[in-house]
Amino acid sequence: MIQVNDLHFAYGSNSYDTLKGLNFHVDTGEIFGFLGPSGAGKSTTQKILIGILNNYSGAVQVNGQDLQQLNSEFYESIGVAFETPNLYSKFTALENLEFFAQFYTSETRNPFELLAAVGLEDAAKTRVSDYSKGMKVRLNFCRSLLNNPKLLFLDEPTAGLDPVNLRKMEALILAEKTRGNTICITTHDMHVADTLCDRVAFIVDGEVGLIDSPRDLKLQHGERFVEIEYREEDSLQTKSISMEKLGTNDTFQNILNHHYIETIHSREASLEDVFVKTTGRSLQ
Amino acid sequence: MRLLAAMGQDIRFQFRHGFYYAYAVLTILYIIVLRLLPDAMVHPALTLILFTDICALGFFFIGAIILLERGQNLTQSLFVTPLRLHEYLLAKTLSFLFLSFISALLIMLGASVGGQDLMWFIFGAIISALIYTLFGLFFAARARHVNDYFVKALGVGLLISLPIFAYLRLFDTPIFYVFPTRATLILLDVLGADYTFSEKIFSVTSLLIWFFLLSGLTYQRFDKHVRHPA
Repeated sequence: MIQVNDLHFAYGSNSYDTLKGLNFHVDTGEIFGFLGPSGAGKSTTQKILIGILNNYSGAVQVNGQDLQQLNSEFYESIGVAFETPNLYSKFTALENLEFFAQFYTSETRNPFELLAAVGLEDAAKTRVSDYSKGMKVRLNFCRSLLNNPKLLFLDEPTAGLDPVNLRKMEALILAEKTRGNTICITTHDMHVADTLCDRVAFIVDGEVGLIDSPRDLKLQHGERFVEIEYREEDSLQTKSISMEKLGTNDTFQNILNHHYIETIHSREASLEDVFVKTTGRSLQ
Repeated sequence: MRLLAAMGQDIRFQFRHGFYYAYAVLTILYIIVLRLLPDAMVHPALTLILFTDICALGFFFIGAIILLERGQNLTQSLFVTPLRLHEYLLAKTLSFLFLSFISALLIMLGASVGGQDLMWFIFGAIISALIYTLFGLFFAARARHVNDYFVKALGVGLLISLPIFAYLRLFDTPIFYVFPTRATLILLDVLGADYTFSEKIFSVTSLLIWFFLLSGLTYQRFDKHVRHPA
């Protein structure tokens, strides 16, 4: 679906490149995540893929066509939800969706049904200026789906959502994947990347570190261990012990045989742990 | 279809942000002033009032609209839909033309003026409204906030308004004929003063040149700084 080779980009008169030779591809029907800290180049990459930034060097192809050669027809088949909700604040949610729907020649989705899917049906006729941040994020997502996009770009799609709506949003994104649509997610939320993405690209300082599925990244770069809490002379102690040859680990056997165990859990490295280990940077 | 949708939305946007109320208040004020003036002063006052209403207000208000849109991050979301840049700009200029032309028409009706040169006048009013809206769009494209825009707009607005001195017979120079305002003032004044045919043709030609020049420059500037900002 998307093929990017040696992508370089610099903002304005900056003497340095914000993107320094990115190479990646996104397959049709997959959820691809750009994971990295703020300022890493994730949103810049997305802005290039949706045609906002066009003075880049390198090759970017969407559906086998050079992005520089695409015209406004391109926007008939993509949906974009920016990180900052951009909506008409003095208009209701329904008015916003009905307005944007008029730009598409293909059949659009029912705005009210979209609002109901994200739990905004009761606020459909409320002005956006009276919406909370989380409500705006959900409405922004609705707008990106109006034209049944085959290719969906979501920038921090879960920012500002409470746990209930976070799960609802995750389910809706996965539902788009089951429709056969391709989704690019930009996020610094490790949980979102881990839960939703088929593959993630670690981006730091404008370069792609690793690209793989979250599961394989954790298996290849993570370390499995057991975390054990036990009593030793009335004080609570904690130890983390590698799961490699655990049965013959002297420390582990000693704790089991001579101490009162309070808790014992196996733990895998999180995607964030892998990110920190492989890039030397935190996600914040 | 996209153009009509964008235009309809722009008119509703202007209405909900109070631009129609502002124009209604100003239009009523202008009519009251014109009614109170002695007959001999109505025509020159009308010309200056229409110049202010169509040109100066359009110039300032369109900038405010663009910055309001930018404050709501709307431009990016519009340019990732099939809406073309020329449709976006046309919608802005035509929706504003609609507002300023209705206002100008009401002022004229309120002042009870008319005459055989009405077509010259209508053409001048329409093309001038478009030109000063384009001027506003041109400067708003790179303005980061309202103060930034108004400082630039005020400077340019005052500069291009210099031919008013010629209209008031205070000071004149051939350089004023380069300014679009000179042509605008001639065509807005045709109902109350005698102008030669060549003066009217010159004014129409001048305004058409300014219109096409500003259309191209504004399109380029929006494409570079608003549609593809980097």
